[in-house]
Amino acid sequence: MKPAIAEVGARRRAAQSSAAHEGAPREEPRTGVVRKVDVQPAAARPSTRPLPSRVVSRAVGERPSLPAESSTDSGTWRCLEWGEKSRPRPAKRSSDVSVVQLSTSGKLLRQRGPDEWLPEAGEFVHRMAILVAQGLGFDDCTAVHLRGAANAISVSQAGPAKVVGVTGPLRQLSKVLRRVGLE
Amino acid sequence: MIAQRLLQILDDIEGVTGSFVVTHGGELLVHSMPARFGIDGLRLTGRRVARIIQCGSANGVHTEDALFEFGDGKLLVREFVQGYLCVLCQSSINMRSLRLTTRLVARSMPTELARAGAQPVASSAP
Repeated sequence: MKPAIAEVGARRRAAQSSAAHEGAPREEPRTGVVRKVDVQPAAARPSTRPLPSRVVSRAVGERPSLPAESSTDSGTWRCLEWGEKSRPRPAKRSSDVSVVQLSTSGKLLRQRGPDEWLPEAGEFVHRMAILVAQGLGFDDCTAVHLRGAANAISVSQAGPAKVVGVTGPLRQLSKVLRRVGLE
Repeated sequence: MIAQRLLQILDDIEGVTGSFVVTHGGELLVHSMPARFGIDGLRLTGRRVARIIQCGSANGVHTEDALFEFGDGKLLVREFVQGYLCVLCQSSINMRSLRLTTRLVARSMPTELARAGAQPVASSAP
């Protein structure tokens, strides 16, 4: 056995016996970012190559609130970011745009967004638009765009078997409307 | 009829095939379409266009402009006080120019329709 592996094994056995004696929790926490604190006291640790002072000061500056390890923490699990306040996550912006995917036969494939009427309306608009196209001498209607004062609906064919309907405020559909020349 | 002459202004735009006007209920009022489009077909199409726009209104989208894309062609619909002005054109048309002219024609249309006392176009069948 290599000396390094033997040293790790001995350290692990020492940690287990230490935890058993001190009654420290041995079960691994199920959530959070954790690490197991080294059982050896700071003095007994094998000497490591000293880091440059610049690196040390930066590391210390990054986590000022991280408490120093003590021998009493040995063998316990704790959060790596202990004491550090969690950063507030940016609030997820609720989208006003609704999107549906329909098959050409009108079956709902996918729906997202607040407008629950969109699958039914999208299917109706698509079917009626095909009739309009045929009445004017065309085979098919590839897209219909309805632009109101504040919002818009767009129903278009996406491939041979799929129809996509989108509705939402003008601001959020401006790209589509600009592309078709309605803005 | 002056309303029909107004529609012919749209024909001057390169790529415009023809145009017609329907009421909000879908009744055909006046048209300037090539002869190959029968009156009955136009009446039916006008009614369908109105239904589609009503569907939008019923769901909170009060349509001012609508565009139907047919691959080789397009149908631009502009809403005005008495109904919808529909312009059939080629897909390669300059949309900016078309929308500008359509808006001007739609603005003048109500007065002319009222002056002429426009009635829905009768069906060709007896």
